[in-house]
Formats: sequence, C-alpha cells, structure tokens
Amino acid sequence: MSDRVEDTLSVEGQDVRALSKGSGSKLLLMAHTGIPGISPFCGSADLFAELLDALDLPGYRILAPDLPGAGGTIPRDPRDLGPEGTAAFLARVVGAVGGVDEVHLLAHGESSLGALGLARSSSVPIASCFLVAPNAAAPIGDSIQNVSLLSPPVPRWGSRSLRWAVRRLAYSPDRFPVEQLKCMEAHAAGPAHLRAVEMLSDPVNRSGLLGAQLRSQDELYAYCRDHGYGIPLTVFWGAGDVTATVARGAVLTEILGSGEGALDLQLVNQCGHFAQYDRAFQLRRVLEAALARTAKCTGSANG
Amino acid sequence: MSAAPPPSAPGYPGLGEGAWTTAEGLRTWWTEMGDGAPLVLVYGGNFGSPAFGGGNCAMVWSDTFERLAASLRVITYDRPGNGYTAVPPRPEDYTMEYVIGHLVGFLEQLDAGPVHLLGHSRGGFIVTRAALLRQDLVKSLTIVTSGTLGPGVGMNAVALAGNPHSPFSLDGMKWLHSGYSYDPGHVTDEWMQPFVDLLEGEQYRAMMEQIEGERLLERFFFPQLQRDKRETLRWLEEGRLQRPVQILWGLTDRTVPVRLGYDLFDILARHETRVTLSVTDKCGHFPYREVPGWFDDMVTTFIEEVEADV
Repeated sequence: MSDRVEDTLSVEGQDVRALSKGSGSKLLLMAHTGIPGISPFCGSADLFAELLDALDLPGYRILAPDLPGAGGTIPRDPRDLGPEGTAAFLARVVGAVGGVDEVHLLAHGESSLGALGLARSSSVPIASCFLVAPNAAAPIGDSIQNVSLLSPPVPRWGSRSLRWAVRRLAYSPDRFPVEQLKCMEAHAAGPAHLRAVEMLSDPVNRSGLLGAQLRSQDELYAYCRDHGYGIPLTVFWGAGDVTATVARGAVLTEILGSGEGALDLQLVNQCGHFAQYDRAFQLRRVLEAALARTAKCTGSANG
Repeated sequence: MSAAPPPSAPGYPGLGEGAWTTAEGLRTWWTEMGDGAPLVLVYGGNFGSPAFGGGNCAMVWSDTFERLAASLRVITYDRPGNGYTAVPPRPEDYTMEYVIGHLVGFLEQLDAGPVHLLGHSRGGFIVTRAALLRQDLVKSLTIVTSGTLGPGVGMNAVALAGNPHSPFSLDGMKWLHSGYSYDPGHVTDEWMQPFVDLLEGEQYRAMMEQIEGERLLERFFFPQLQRDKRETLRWLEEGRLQRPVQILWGLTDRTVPVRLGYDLFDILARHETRVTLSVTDKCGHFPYREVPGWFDDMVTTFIEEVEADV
C-alpha cells in the first residue's frame, strides 16, 4: 500500500521536485546519494521510491526531494552541489514544508556530510539522523584513493555508463530495478543534471566543491571532538560498498560516538552502496525501529 | 517436554515459573514465556569462581525475558553446574564440550523445531559451536559480545583485575558486573542478590570444593576450550556455519573490544549470506541491560527478517 505522490515544491522561489508520502507534524526528510556532475550515476529522489512505499510510519510526513542538480531540481549556484549547499538546501526545504514539530533526516552517500552539517546547525532542530553508506563523512586520511568509479565508459551518463556504475555500486545488481535505470537515463538528459555538469566542467567550481567537502569534514570532526551530537545517530554500512571500506565506517562510528546522543552502527554483509535494494527489508525495519526508539525517548507517540 | 511447569521448580524474578527437564541425563532447570518464533537464550560465564567467569545463571535475563516474550516464544535454562541445574556427573565433564552437548540435548528435548539461538559472552561460543554441530536444530544465531568466540585478545583479565571484595559476596558481584558495564547503574542489589544466594547454596559450595580441590578448570576446562576454539574458528573460516548470524556489540565494552566483533564479522561474512554486526555506543558487556530498547529492536527485527525469509 502506498500513497506516494510526486510533486513540485516551491522552495524560496526554486522549483524542487520531490516524492512524498503521509502527513503529520513529524517530517522524515530523505536526501539521496550522488554528486550531480561528478558521480557516474544519477541519484535522485526516485532512489527512495520503493523504500518510501514500504515504510510504515503513521504520523510522519516522508519527503524525498531531488537535491540541486538531480532529477527535477535545477541548481542555482555551484555551491549548491557541495555539502554546505546540501545542508542549506535541506534547511530551506524544511522551512518551505511548514507545520513541522520534529525533523528526522535520512541521508544516503554523499549527502551524509551535508545532513550532519544541518544536524549541528541551529537553523533547523533535527531530532535524529540515519546515515546510509555515509562515505563522504568518513575520514580518508592517507588511505589509498578509491578508484572503483574512476573510468566509466563514455559517453558519461549514457545508458551503458549508468549500468556500469550501478553494477559496480550494487552488491546484487539484479535487485536494482530496471525502472530506476530508466529514471537515471531520463534525469541524465534533464536540465538539472545538464546544468550541474556544465557548472562542474569549470575547474574552479570543481576545486571549490572539493574545498567545501574538506571544510565540511573538518567542521564535522572538530564538532565531534569538542561537542558531540546530542541526537540519535544510526550508521547503516554495507560491507560490500565499493565507495568506502568497512575500516572507514568503523572509524566514522568511533568519531560520531563522542556525543551524548545514542549511536549505533549496522554493518551488513552482501550489501553494496544501494542498501535500499540490496537489503531492503533490513534497512526499512532498522529505520522504523530507530525512529520508534527516538519517539520513545522524546516522549512523542510514534503513530 | 511439558509446557506446564511442575510447582516444585524454583524460579527467578522476571522469568516466570520454572520447570524441570532432563538433558544429557542431567536434571535441568528451564523456563519459557510468550508465543511466536522460538528463541533460546544462553548466558555467558563458566564453572567455578565468579572471579573467573563462574557463578552465572538464567537470572541474567531477568529484565530481558518478558520484553522479548512480547513477540517471541522465549526460552532459557540453567547450564550444568549453574543455578538450579545439577552439576556435571564426572570431573572430565567440566568442559565447554559437555556444556554444548547439554544444550544440544536440551534443544532435542524441547522439540520446538529449529530455533533461534542467542548467546551472550561465553554463551556466544556455546551457541555457535552447538549450531556448527547440529545445524538442523538452528534457524539463526545471535552472538552478543563474545570474546570467547571472537578471534583476538579479550581484556577481561585486565579490566576486571583486583576485585577488592570477595567475588562470592554481593559487593564483589556488583564490583565485577560494574566493571563489565559502561554505566553501572543497571547493576542493582535486586539483580545481583539471587546470584549471591545461589553461590552460597550447598550445591555451588560443594562444586567449588571439587573444582578447586581437583583443579578441574586447569585440567579440563581451559585446555578443552582452547582446542574447541581453534577448531570452531577453523570451521567458521571454512564456511561451515550456514545460518543467518547477527552479532551485537557494545562500542565501549572494556572487556571485549569491538575489534573482535569486526574480526568475527569478517570471518562469517565471507561465506554466510546474511551477517550483520550491530554496534551500539555507550554500552559495555551487557547490551540487553544497558541499552534494552536497542537490544530488543535488533533481536526482534533480525528474527522477523529470518522468519520472513527475505
């Protein structure tokens, strides 16, 4: 059963395409994976479609927007594509939704860094943060550069190239829906992605993005060392995710464990970057249980 | 096995009424609660003095049993020489091998079909080896902070060195269990007193006399455990364990560092299709008491998934 709808929100004058489901004063805001114009696949809100359908969260409005440069959300500035832009964008989305008492974040892949940034800002009080394959937030140090997605077939973001990326990222590519690949193909040729590609073809913008990532990591690690998160955090990590090693997930867990909030890690085997397909049942149930625990702690009823 | 416990069997707070059965020829105390998929809980520790892991019993589940029984048929028992269960018949039976055989016998008597097994600490080793020996009796495994099974160095001897009290006293037991914990707030007199009462009982005193007098741990228990652990890890490396596994660990367990959990995950994940390591922060050696909500969620959602066969 699903009452999932696709809609276009007006967020401070910007058209934002989003998938949503349910209603209530609690908002589960989902931020998808991928950096438009860099990642060899085209992430979008559609990657949450099946999870959104399956989630049973009475009292929650679940909202999955296309991040700038993805799907149907045209970026306005190259900075929109980095973690600081993601945090600011998500804050604007929350503001535009209105009538929200509690905001819970689910961030996948690269959006994790921006989500953790938003979770420590005072602009939007975040109640919990669920991080799926948070590769961008995990430190790299001087470990060997991950080259698993270095040489996609050309033309980039063509159907063959997208399939190549998905096959490398998914532990079980057969579980990755064909419809999602078609979505990616459509989004690759859409104005949002083309604008992101154009922006990041400029070396200045590209290096600016890298700088923003390093800056956001620096702020994250300093915050964890000096303060620590006071909200519940969950890290869901696929042991077969080629974008980041288990060792990095373990280190990130140690870093995030500095705060007063609850923290847990779910390290899952035979699971790649797309946990929503490789481990659909487990991801959904762990997420539902985490939200229920948070509700219990905060004293609010979960439906 | 009868589900209706005879009135003569004693009980522990929180575990409902107890019952007697016979497993491996040994009079065995057990109990059950709830309906649903059968989950058998196996606690940690071994024979002998609490200073070296002895003196445990089913009482460890006192706060856990009823919660899990809300959605599962939860079963637990006292192991040989612990709690209300009789002592091993021969000196050479003071081994993990005997304890594991007793668990297998208990499961056969239970006749509940393949069960979900959950083992804490040394219990993690017991359930894993029992599963390796009799996979037909097992549907899934949950291993909770098990340094005995984990490949690596446990830190019990370091973290729990120098108990200033008698390990058989209430203060000694509280000191010990507090050392295992991140936040010792859960180590209450109410929880600990039944352990102390059993330690002071005639059966335990007589067993301690025999264990110490005949050096049973040094002669039988530890050497056999070494051999069994080596063989068990080799079997795991070979991929012989072919059931879904969940590993639960406290990130701040001073006695069994989480790196043992990662290493265990690494071995199991090479072969088994469904393995998860779930780690929780601000938790020591007793996740089921220190972070009960999280523990219950992990156990019930895992069993739900295994039962759904997705």
